[in-house]
Amino acid sequence: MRLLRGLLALAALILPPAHRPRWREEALALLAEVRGVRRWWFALDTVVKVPVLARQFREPVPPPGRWLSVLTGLGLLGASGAIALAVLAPAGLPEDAAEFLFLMAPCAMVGVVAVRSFWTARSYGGGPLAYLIALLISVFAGTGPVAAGALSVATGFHAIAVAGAFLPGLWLITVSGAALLRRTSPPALALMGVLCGIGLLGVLLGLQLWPASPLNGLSVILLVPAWTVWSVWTAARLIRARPQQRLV
Amino acid sequence: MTLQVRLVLQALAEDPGRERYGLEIVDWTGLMPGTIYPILARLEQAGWLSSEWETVDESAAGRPRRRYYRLTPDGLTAAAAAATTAPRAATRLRPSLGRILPGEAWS
Repeated sequence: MRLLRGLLALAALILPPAHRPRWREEALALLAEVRGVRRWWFALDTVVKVPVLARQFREPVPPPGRWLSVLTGLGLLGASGAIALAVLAPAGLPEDAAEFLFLMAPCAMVGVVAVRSFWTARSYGGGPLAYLIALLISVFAGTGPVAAGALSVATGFHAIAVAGAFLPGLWLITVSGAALLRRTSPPALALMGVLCGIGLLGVLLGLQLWPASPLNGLSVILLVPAWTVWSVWTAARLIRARPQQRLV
Repeated sequence: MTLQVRLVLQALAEDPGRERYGLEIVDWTGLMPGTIYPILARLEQAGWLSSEWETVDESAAGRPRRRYYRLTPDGLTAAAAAATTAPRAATRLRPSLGRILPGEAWS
């Protein structure tokens, strides 16, 4: 039972703090009354489905403020514009500035990722763990290979850079896929977000794992138009800042 | 209303005067515990269920205290309505679930 207690305590961290003790005690009482394989099967099921319960406890949180939405939209639009400038008119920029823009290009999403992550953490009841997860998502999914690459160099683990290359694309696919299923944004925009995420995933993973692969070229061909449409459309919605349009 | 929610309501409405705890609901419905917790939470939030901890000496009973659930008047009305709209579908689910769940989840 000690192992089960520990497992439930760990799983309960997903729940809002106010609901953890009751769920832990109730689930443990149920598991204590069954034996053998059935107990472990029930324990696995209980733990795996905690996110469903956590979703049930989500509280309605007002959308981010108007000015935050406008700033996020301007940030996305500005970063995308700077990347386009660096790509289309490299001669018009000093070499250092162009290099800086290319380095910072993956950080274009950091604002939208941060706003979305912290809003979600708040709707799950907040607390240090939820905000820490939101911060980590903001840093690693928002800045992509910049943060993961720096950490990889600092620690000497190449795997961190590879894992970091997954996150921005995966985040965009997940968020846009959810928007597509729940119809919380126009289907064409959500679909563009999914395509953009696939392109990001292909480009960033390709750069880390298979630099000479022809798939990289295909990913770029997918990413450039998808990113252009998605970022401009999303930024326009954020700048417009209608209450239902203040999140990606 | 999903089939799983109907099943939980039926389990609790079978004998409205009697409170049921988690494992009883699991056994009655054939649903897994991870499935019933979100349903119970949702029904309780909607005011269809009330719940309370069992008053028991845990060391004397040799087990942790249980959380007991009971339908409220609103829940009873909803359960009656659910029973009239899809009773066949609910009764069909039980044996089939029992066959596919390992670990004697149904028994």
